[in-house]
Amino acid sequence: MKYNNVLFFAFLSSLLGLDVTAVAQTMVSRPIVAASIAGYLLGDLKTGVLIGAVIELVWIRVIPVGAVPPDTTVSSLLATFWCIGGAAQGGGLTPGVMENSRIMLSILMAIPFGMVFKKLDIVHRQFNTSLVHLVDREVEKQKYGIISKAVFLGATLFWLKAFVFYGLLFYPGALAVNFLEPALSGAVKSGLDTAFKLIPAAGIVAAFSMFSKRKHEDVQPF
Amino acid sequence: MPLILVRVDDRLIHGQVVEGWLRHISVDCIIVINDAVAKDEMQCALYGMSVPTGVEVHCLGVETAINGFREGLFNRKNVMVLLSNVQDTLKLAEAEIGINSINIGGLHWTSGKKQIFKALSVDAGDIAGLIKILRHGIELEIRILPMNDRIALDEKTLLSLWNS
Amino acid sequence: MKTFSRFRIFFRSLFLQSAWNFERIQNIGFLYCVFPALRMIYKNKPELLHNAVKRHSGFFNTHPYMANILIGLTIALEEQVAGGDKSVSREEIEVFKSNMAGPLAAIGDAFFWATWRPFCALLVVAVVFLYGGADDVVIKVSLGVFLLVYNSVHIGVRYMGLKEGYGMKTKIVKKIATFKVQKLVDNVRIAGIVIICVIVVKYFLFDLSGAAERGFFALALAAGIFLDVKKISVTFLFYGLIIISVLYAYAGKNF
Repeated sequence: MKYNNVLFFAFLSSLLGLDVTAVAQTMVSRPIVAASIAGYLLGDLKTGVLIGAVIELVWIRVIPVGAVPPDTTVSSLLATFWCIGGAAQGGGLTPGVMENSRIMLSILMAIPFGMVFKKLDIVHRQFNTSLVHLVDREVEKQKYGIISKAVFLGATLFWLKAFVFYGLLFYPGALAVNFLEPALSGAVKSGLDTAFKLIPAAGIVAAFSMFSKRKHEDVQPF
Repeated sequence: MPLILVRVDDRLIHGQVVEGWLRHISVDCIIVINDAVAKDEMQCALYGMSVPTGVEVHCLGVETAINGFREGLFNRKNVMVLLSNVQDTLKLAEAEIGINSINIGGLHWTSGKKQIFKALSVDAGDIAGLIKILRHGIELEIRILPMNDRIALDEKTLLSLWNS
Repeated sequence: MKTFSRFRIFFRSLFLQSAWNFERIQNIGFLYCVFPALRMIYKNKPELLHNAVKRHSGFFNTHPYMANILIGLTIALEEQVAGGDKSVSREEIEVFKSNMAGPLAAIGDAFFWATWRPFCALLVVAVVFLYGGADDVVIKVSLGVFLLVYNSVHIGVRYMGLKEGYGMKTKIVKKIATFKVQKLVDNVRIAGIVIICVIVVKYFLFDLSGAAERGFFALALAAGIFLDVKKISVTFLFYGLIIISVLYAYAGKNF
């Protein structure tokens, strides 16, 4: 099963993204799940799982308390599409032969966009304050239909901003990875390869810190 | 009495306090200073359930708390104090029990108040109270979570924001 | 509240945060959940309905799964007051709501966000580490199990919260006490640490080869723990490891 279609993936990813805050929160949006689903649909489950596992572990301490958290779902889905979707387009995808350096490159490129998305998210949530005032005004007039409409609109906005974000970034990012990977010098490539083997250390430290009692936790890494 | 943190937050004990602050500072005793909560057993029980094992929760009225501090009841613990409004905080500040700094974690908007910071909405009485606390030589800082930037408050800033 | 209404409100509760905003956080979602019941309670009393809706438009913020407890409780109390029961006043409903929202949030954050969710995710990650991601079926099954296990507690709390919040009202606090949530948190965390240790040992022994790789890994772990004690974020370690690896490769000494 191979779907390289950007629109399809943007649609699916933005649906998954709803699970982060707007709807249900069943954890299908977790990096480990979302990246695996994307990887599977793109034809390489294993790579998706690896990307998901790395991002899940290293940022395991991020919880939605106090501030708007950086969006690890966005980072995972971007990284997965860029890594695998791009490889398929680059002509011939052989599952299991994904270079570790390519995976690291995709993740590295995707993380800043998770931060960018968070900023977009904040703007969206600030906008929602106007929804509150709209509801207030309609309620004053004893017109209550606005409540359901506001909820629906809110969910749609969460979906739409993700859809546009993914839609704009999937293809260029995949092209960028296809362009950059062969352009990597031998040293950088080997360095990234090594880093991939060492990265579990960062994840382990994060997980250990999370599970030990009352240890410091960065709710907003960076 | 290591008073680790004195925090003003109208939600008292909640997620940010437990998952944010308690992971950052070492506290084994939380004192909720609030007359209404002190009389509400169920509420206090609920607070007790919200904190990690090893942290005690006491819910005391303002007078009782001040007397307790004066008598040195909490001297051997690492204490976090939680207050829910400016007036109670002012009474605590005036009691001169050795507070140097007060953290404002969240006073949310209700009708009649003006929002001057993301985490701080005040009315005239609050502004007057905050200024009196500052005049006691106590530092006031706004900080929702430990890793946020501290916004130090001073009289001039408060007045200019209130009057703008 | 008949079973059909309960399902309807349960469904609505999934959208509690769809209109999340900085001013009153989950207020619109909360209104969305209680409105069908309010409309039924104050049928043919438009003024009372109007007051009720306005009353529940205020600031509301708690853990999304635990919110159902307060939704059920609010509906039950509104029914009680509307029915003429004088033991509870409308103002008191507001007080209960805001008093309980904070601690319920703390419990929900501590158990679900900080413990249960990372633990379930850790289990899947552990499977990936321990089975090397070699077998697709194993991965798919463990993802499925993760979602199933996680959400059985999730949906259970949402549904039972709604039901018992309605049935027991404020007495639900006693029920919550019986779960000894903090103790549960401690135990799950211990299990998590055990799993982490297993992962580290397996990875160290079987996935790395040669003294150089193992040495570097141990060094990375040590550096990570040091940075963590110094309260520097793990993202720093992440990028640091990558930069150091690349620089090291540049220096020409590859593994």
